[in-house]
Amino acid sequence: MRKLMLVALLALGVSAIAAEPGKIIIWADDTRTPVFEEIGKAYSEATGIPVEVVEVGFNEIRGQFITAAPAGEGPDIIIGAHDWVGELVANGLLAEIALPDELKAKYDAVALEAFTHGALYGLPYAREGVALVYNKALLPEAPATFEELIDFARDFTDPTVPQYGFAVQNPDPYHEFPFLSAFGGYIFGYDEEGKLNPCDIGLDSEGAITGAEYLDALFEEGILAAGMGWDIWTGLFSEGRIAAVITGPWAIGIAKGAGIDVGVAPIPLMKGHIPKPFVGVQGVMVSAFSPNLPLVEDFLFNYFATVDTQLALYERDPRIPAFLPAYEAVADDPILRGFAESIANGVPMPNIPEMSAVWGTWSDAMAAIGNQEMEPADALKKAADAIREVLGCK
Amino acid sequence: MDGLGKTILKILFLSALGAFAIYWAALAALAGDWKVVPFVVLGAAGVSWLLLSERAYPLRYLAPGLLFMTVMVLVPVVYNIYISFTNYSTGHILRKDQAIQVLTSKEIPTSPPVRFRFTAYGTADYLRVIVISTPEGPLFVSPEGKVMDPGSFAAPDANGDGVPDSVDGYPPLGTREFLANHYPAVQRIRIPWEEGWLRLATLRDFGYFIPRYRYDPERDAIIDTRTGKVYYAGLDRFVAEDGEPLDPGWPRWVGLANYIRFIRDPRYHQAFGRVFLWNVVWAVLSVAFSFVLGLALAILLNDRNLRLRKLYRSLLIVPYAIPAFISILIWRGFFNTHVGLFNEVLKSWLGPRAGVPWLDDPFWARFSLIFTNVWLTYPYMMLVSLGALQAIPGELYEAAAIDGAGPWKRFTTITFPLLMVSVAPLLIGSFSFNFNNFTIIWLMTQGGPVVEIGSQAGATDILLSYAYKLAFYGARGNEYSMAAVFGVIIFVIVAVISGISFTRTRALEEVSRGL
Repeated sequence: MRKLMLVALLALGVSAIAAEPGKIIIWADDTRTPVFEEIGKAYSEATGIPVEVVEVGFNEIRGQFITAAPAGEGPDIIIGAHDWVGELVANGLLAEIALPDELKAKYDAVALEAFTHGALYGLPYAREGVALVYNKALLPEAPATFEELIDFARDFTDPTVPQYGFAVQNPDPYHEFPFLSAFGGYIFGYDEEGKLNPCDIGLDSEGAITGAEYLDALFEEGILAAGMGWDIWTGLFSEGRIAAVITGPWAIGIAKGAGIDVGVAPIPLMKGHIPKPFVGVQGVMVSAFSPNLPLVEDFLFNYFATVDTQLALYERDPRIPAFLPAYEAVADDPILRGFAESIANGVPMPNIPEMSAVWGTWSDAMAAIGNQEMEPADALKKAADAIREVLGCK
Repeated sequence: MDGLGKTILKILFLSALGAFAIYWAALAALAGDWKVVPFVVLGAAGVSWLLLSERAYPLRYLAPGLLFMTVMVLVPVVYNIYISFTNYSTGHILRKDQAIQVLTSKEIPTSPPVRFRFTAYGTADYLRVIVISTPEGPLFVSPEGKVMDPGSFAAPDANGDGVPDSVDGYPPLGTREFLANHYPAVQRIRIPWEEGWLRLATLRDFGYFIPRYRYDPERDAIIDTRTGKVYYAGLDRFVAEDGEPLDPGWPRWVGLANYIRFIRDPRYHQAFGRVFLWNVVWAVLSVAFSFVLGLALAILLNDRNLRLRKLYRSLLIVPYAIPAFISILIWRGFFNTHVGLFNEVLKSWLGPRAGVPWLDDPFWARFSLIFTNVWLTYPYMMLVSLGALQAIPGELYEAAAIDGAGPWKRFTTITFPLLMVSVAPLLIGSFSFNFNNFTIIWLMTQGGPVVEIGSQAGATDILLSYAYKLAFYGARGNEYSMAAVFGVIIFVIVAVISGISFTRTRALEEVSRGL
């Protein structure tokens, strides 16, 4: 009968699994749930505090958390991506985490920065970003400079075959950003408090335009194919028709599955400048409505931020650990190391909600550049102005 | 079953229902879920009334349908309309008291952290006192968070380390025992300390924290404790005198402001006409072409003289059987300008320079979308038409043939009008569906190609995909309220078109009644 009541209450949206003092509730996705269940059990055995892990699809977590947390039905801990932080903080849903100094030293600095928005709002576990992924059969060694890669591609590329010496997923600002950032382009600048300033938009800064012109020359010469989407280039890469591509760890499985011997290296220097890819970080965040902050911090610092847990997460889903002792334990994998070295140069993808006004317009500008419809300076200027207007920065 | 048995059953059922409702309501009330109570009580009363009242007899059969219509259709529509009159969006989702709670619980961490060991005394059921070892000596704190006079406790301390061996005869509790029984009460404690407070910081320590903000109820303002800056409560958030706002805020009723913004702000209305026009063209052409193709194939398949009829029929239904999510992505690949199948074929025929910018040019993107949608939906039209063709009485054709009507005459005067009687409402439904066919637009082009940088609306955006972009790629995260405005506008448009169409098709029903 009690069970029936529970079901009925749940059906009415009166969740019985809501944050309550003395019990830790975690929302995790299917990949990470088993790991949290395991450390939750260990924590319960040590302290007597029950830990309940609820499986929620990764892409559902943010939306459901926004609905559930203010209603007092949310969890204590969620897993998520760092670019949720700004929106969740603006909504008043996240608690600051007081990470002890000795633990702070064990984390990758870029990964912590990604979860910082005035204060630290998350504890990262994985970081990812793009690097140069190349087919060793076509390109035995990663070139040291981008100009070498362009020379190689000039000979190799022949769209009628088709075969490409070099490709980048486009129009796709995420993948094309390293070109802009190499020459000093940025999305949002920082204010004096160290927070991103949504009105300091660097999309039409000198560096961004120089980078876009560098990229535009490749499209114009026919070295890069415009409109090369994910499904297209992964198909070509798997058939051995692309020698090198800017992509992330998520493409490695497909390439390996097709029997391609892949190498991974930092994106080569562009005219001597270091391309800075966006770094995406995944981690755990704590609800501002949790009555369990002391327990949650104890749990996270002593059971989550450990080599064993981070390696268990890595086993389930091999992303680059943000916890450096765990990273060092797996860094002998050349592919992982290649990506890690690439994103060590990177910048965190902006974590403020204003970023959602940027993606679409920026993507349109990149499409116009790729299709040779507009000059890079005009396209980026127009996009940046449009974004400023939407964000009320004029 | 006789009347008596029925009555007894009814009474038994209603008693059980009543008992259940009371139990549930009580449980919910005890759990503090007062919102649930009226629903449970009214629900149970409503069911009882339905079953007991003679006058409510016809309602018994309608009630379930009405209930589901209310819950599934009416409530979302009303809620959507309500949201369109608020500013529910990123930064405005908490209640005001919650926003104050969130702000005033923000703390400035001291560096290095100040931590004091504590010991709890009592039993599993009873917490006598908490003793916090501060540098100024032990602090005796009641479970309610009050600082007590140490003299009022019998607290022997044999080794003199400041931690009593027992208090009033109660032994110190182990961490596990403490957490299991007394954590909920103790985590609430805030003991005033220097500029801030002491609170439970770890499983063994209280910590010293300084609040970041203080709330002044008299001025209804939030004060930054570091800078002294005052943020006064506005209509939907706290704002400083220099205009600096403080997140989070809370939602408020804005009346028609969102609709006025829609009309005034060129970002919203500039593209609206263009998007609306394409939306209508898209829905009309999709339905028209797929219906013509489906009908033609149905007439062909309806011909008994056609050989391998069953094979053709099975093959022609294939597009309908493949999940659209997969086939749309495959079509998108076919249409790719650089490596897609169509351009590859064109190149092999016409040389390496041939090719059409299928999805990169506004006209061709629209063409490709309609082409794909016709491919996806003609089997439905074919199946519907096949069924309707079977229902047309054969003797009509015989009579027409005797009167000397040719095949075309027979089609225009018999087949088509009679077909429309049953198919017209489905065409209207199909129109409404395609009018809001977000899936194919989003999977094929995401509304692209670009018409103008900075305008969210691409060449193939329909109202729904445009609204989606505005709502979720809006200025600052999620603009639920503006999305709701679009929802209302789309709802009105579709309702008007459907309403007109349905009154028109009623005329067709007159045709069939005349037979």
